[in-house]
Amino acid sequence: MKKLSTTNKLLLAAIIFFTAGYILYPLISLIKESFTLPDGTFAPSAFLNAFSKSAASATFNSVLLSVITVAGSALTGILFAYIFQYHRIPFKSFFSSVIIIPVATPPLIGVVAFLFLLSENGLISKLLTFVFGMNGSFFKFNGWTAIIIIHIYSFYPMFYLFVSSALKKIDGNTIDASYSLGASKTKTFFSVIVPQLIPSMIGASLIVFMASMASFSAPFIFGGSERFLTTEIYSAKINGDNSAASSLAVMLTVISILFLLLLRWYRSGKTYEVRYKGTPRTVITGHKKGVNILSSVFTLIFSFLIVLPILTLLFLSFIPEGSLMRNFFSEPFTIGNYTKIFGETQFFDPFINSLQMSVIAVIITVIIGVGTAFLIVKKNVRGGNYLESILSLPYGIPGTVIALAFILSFNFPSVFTGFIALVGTLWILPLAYAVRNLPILTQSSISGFHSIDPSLEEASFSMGANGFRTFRKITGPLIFPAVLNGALLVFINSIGEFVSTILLYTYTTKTISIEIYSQLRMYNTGAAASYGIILFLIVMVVVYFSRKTLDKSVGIS
Amino acid sequence: MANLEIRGITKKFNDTTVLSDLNLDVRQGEFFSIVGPSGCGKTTLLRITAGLEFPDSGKILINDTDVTALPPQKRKTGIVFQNYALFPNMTVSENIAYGLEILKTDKSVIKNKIDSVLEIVSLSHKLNNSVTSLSGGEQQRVSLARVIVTEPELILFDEPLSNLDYALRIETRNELKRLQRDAGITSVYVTHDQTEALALSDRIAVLDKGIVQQTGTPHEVYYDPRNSFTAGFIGHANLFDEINSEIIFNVRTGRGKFLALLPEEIRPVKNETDGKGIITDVQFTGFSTEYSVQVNEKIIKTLCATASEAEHLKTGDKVSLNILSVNGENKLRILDK
Repeated sequence: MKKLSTTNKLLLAAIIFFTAGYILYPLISLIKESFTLPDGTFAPSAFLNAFSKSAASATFNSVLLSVITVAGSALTGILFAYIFQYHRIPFKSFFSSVIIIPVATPPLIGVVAFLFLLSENGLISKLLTFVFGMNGSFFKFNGWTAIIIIHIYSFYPMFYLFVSSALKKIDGNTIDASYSLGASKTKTFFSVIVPQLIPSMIGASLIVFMASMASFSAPFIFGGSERFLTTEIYSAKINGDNSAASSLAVMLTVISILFLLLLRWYRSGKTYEVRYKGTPRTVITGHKKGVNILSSVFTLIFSFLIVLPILTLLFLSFIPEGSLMRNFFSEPFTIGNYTKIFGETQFFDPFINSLQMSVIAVIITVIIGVGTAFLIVKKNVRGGNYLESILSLPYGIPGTVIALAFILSFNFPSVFTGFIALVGTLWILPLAYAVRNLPILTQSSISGFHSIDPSLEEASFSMGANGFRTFRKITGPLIFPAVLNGALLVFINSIGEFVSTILLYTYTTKTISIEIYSQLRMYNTGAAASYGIILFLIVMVVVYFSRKTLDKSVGIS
Repeated sequence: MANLEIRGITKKFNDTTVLSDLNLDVRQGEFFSIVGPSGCGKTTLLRITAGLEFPDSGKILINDTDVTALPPQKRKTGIVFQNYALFPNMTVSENIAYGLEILKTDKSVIKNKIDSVLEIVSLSHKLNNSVTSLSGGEQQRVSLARVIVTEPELILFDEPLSNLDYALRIETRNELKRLQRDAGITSVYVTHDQTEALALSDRIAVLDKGIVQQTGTPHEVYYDPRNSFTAGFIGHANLFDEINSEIIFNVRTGRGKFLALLPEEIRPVKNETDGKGIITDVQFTGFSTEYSVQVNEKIIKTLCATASEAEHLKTGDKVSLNILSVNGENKLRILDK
């Protein structure tokens, strides 16, 4: 370990303070609360008491939902990864961008869009009524079916991205070798291709499982009477039963962290990297025209289905206010919804709030993430790997749990709150966003620092540059893309955040997502849709600028 | 064992003609090389023979049977790839067993066959190793074992040695030759390395721009090239046009024809008074020494056995050039194009 300068020591102290205060302390408070009886006494039985029948069924439902989500996402994602790798499809790069749109879409937007498209009063139902005079109310889009469809919609791109990149690494010659040894296409697929994809499929399964366990928006809107862990935590908290909420939160966190550990263990484990010189051959089969045409048509239809919910949102954003219950096809289009948002302060404030909080979250994560990566990789600080483990912990902690832990920890003044009650202020939201997204920035910065050849810095030192100059001229510019990419991802995740926001916001700190939800509650379809479209556009603009590196990073709320 | 006939194969990728009306005959048990620079179409020809690509026109016959339309699974050809193409998810023995399992071979027979083929390629001790843990040379031997264990009619080699370092390449080359001779399997070997082709082959086809320039034994293509491409590619021959032949060697080639001389057929002799050439570069490689000689703007490569060199020439020395007869014949090699 190199000797640390005073600046570095201060940086390290700040990181330790942050880690202790905003990750460890809230978690400890949460665990403590889960062992506390409603009357405030500490008792181990409290934890078990919370596990009434309803909690058990919520746990069971959450796990079952996640398993179904993983299976459905895997089927869809792998199918399209295979088609895009091996078949000839016109405008391939365009379509491959379209079908990963859901990965960047804020979960709440997806949920609202599906609501407007498929629910009893949704676009399809109205269209059937309008065209055929049918009674659209036979349309039932809720409960398990709705949640599963939305989950697969949101999470299948993970499988697509993971499996695509694994398929690209498969050497086409191994496939040719298999054919020439007499193996049929089916035999080759199951004996040669699939086994080489298994590591990436396991990785995607773990991530999707965790994301699905943590998912809140879809069960919240469509769950009805069905119980899931995240929604149960929310309702326990709203009912003022902190102890039960905490016990459920601990339960959910333990399951998620278990999967996080599995994921970390798997990532450090084996992959089928083959050492050889020369480049692997990439194959595009395409002898059969019929197959290619079929795949192209299939892709076209699927891409349309992927953008259909968003198109619905766009369509409804131009429908006059309060026409949800009427037949809105006869109404003239209006931009009234948009002019209202941009014209009236009370409707525009949520944007200012969301932007402000996302920027604060990005600043915090950049300082802590880059600082940690710098100290671990460049300064080799003692215990660096423990620090890294703690900082990647929030990846396995669902947003609902972080929000609950923050409420329990920061509703009274302490050294970590700047000696005020943080709950109810604007600061608690960006802090929650920052903690949730720290793993993304820490990991991307660490890999950024690792990818720099140490001899570049040595060359700079040998030419007489000091540490600061070297960082400013050499190291900084080289890690900039990795950090920028991480920062943009944090921004995307924060600007549409709903899960922890709904527990932490107050009237003055309403965000876009909260505004969408409350407009929805008031049946203001047009307003909710136009907020949704604006949020979607903001996210897409950011994604567009980070598109080239987005595929490599993995981050989803 | 089989014979292979390639009849009038033409293949285009988009508008580029890769192979044009190509004909070749490979005899039973023969080790046949296809040699040419990169982009000459040799790998495409190999892939068409294996059934991994299909020609636009022409026919492939194995044992007088037309296999042009057959998929690779039905051709009984084995391929040894440049990057080995071992299945990374399988062990050494699983890789070798793969083809036998498809042939529905009995389990005990498979085991015996794996044991004996691993002995042949000296890898018995690596039986259960993961193929990703093997070195390049070992991977190449497994990939060869995987092919010969299925006893194919024809083995196709796609530059199998080019990813190995020099010493290993020579060693593996010798082993390959021995294995092929023992097994007696008809082999088609594609390479851009003419030394490799000369050392291994019974016969060689020289390919350039999708056209066979010449077919013959190693001696024929080396000493009796039919055109300047073969002369330059196989023997690194110096080519002299009508004027240069006359000026430097006093040889009349005839209008538009070329004199081709191999580097070892030209002897630089020190001649400070009348020498027309100047030594521009000397490369000593041990047994032989390579001199580059400049005459009238033209750089001529010459090669002399070091031991026979009485006087050591230096850069800047003035020399005159004599033609030697290396092949025991006094016939000068005059090429039309």
